[in-house]
Amino acid sequence: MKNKSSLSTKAYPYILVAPTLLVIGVILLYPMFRGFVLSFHNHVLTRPLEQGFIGFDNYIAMFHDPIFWLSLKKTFWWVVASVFFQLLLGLGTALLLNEKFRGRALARGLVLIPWVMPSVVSGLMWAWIFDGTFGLANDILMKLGIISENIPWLGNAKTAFPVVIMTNIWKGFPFFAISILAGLQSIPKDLYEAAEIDGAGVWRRFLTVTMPHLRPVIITTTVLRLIWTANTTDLIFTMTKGGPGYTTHVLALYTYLKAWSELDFGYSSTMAIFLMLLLLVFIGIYMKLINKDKETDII
Amino acid sequence: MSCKKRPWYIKLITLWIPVILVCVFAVLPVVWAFITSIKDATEIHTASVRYWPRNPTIQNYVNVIRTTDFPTQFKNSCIISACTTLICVVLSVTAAYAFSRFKFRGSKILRKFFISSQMFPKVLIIIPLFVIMQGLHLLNTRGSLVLAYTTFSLPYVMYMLIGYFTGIPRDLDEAATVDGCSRTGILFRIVLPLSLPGIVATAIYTFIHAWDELMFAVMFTSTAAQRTLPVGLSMYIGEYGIEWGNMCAAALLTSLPVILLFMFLQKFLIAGMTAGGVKG
Repeated sequence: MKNKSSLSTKAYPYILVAPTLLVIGVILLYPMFRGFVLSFHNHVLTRPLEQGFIGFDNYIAMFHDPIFWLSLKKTFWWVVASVFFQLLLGLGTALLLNEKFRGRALARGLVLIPWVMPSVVSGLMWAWIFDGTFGLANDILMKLGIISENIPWLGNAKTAFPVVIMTNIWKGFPFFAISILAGLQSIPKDLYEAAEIDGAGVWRRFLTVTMPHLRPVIITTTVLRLIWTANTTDLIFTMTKGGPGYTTHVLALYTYLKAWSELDFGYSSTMAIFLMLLLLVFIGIYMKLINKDKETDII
Repeated sequence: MSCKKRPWYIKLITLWIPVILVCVFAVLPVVWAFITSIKDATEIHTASVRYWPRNPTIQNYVNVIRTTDFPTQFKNSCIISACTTLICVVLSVTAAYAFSRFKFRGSKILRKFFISSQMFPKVLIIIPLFVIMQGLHLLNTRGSLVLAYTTFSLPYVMYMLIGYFTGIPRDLDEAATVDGCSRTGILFRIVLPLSLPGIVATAIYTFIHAWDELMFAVMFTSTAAQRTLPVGLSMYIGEYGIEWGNMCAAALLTSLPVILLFMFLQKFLIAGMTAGGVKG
């Protein structure tokens, strides 16, 4: 393209970009700024008279809030258990679906179902399977002789969290499977042939050819999933609303419930800011990773 | 991986059994929801679970459509998802073109912002946006949800379109310029038609994402007339004496458009998903 440096040429890209940036500024950046400001305010909807600037009081209250600390612990297990098993199951599924067998296309389609189903629907379907009175899970486990009486899975303080995590594993493993499958298909076939000529067995080929090639995909996908899982609230909201007690209160959900059920928008914003700062570390790592991966193919 | 013939029992253990287990795990809740949805209440509330109804019925589906707010919620979800998609795509096209074709100050940092905003906690936006909407008396309107969904979809659509547009060779632009095409002409005559599959995939994904959204919708709507499908569904749980048959029918009807869209565009979606960050 000719490079005339007239005013209109220089302004052209800015004119194209301006409307979009304006909209993003108004609906995304401004609310984030308002959220930051809110975190320094007392803002309980039901008590309008007490609203006002209170400095760091919300932050101090947060660090003295035992439920906040509990929710941090819950968040850790929620994220680590979900993502670990999603990765494990996703990797296994990808390796299987990379083999040639009859019905592979069908299997690939079926495996994607959990990823496609709306979150609310996923939560409801599993809540129904784990229903305490008429649920399928109790029925099967009883017939197998593993349990001797019905368990109210989602109403029981010990079992609710594992069931919710399992649902999340179900929902998220196809994403890993597809990402890793794409990675597998990009590995040159002759590498395997060369390794085979060198006398490497199946396991050895997996460790020396497959894994090194998959590493970038696995790391990037894992970091991305860690962040999203920390942000996920819809599954738990649908299945238990954080209960019974505080057993399924992850931080993102606790933050949401503070605003939604207690209408405490100030304190809720404070926790949202905290969550954001926590995640920024991981977002930073993710940005570094994709820059390394994609330096070559974008601009 | 190797082409050597393996004995059948090894193949059974290392391939067929795991494949079947994974597939069963993936489809089990959906199949079970379907079976439940064609049972009547007496066959759902049995002491010992019945794996297939003696008298399959479509009564639950009729109930959901005739006696619940499902049709209203369906309409709301359609309008909100369609408007969000339309706004995001229209706003993104020109801006993404600028990003893909011109180097200007701040373009790199903005692209980083677009992709990283996909990872911000939603609660961080929900809470202040609620306060703002309340101030503008916009709560309980479809418009408030369209705006809310645009907050997370617009950066995503921008990011995806920039990727697709960048993939179209500049040689084509130059050829078009020689033939007397203006810069805006290049966008509409070269870039848009060539990246149409990508744009359609991104649009469908945006639609599905808005269709699924629960947390904003729960916060911003409080009257039956404004609820979306996910909100309506989420209210089944916690009710005293959940009507599982109706719930399963409503859940499957809610998923149907998503599944159809997905099947229609499976190839595009997977290509798009592996190309960039897509919410899962």
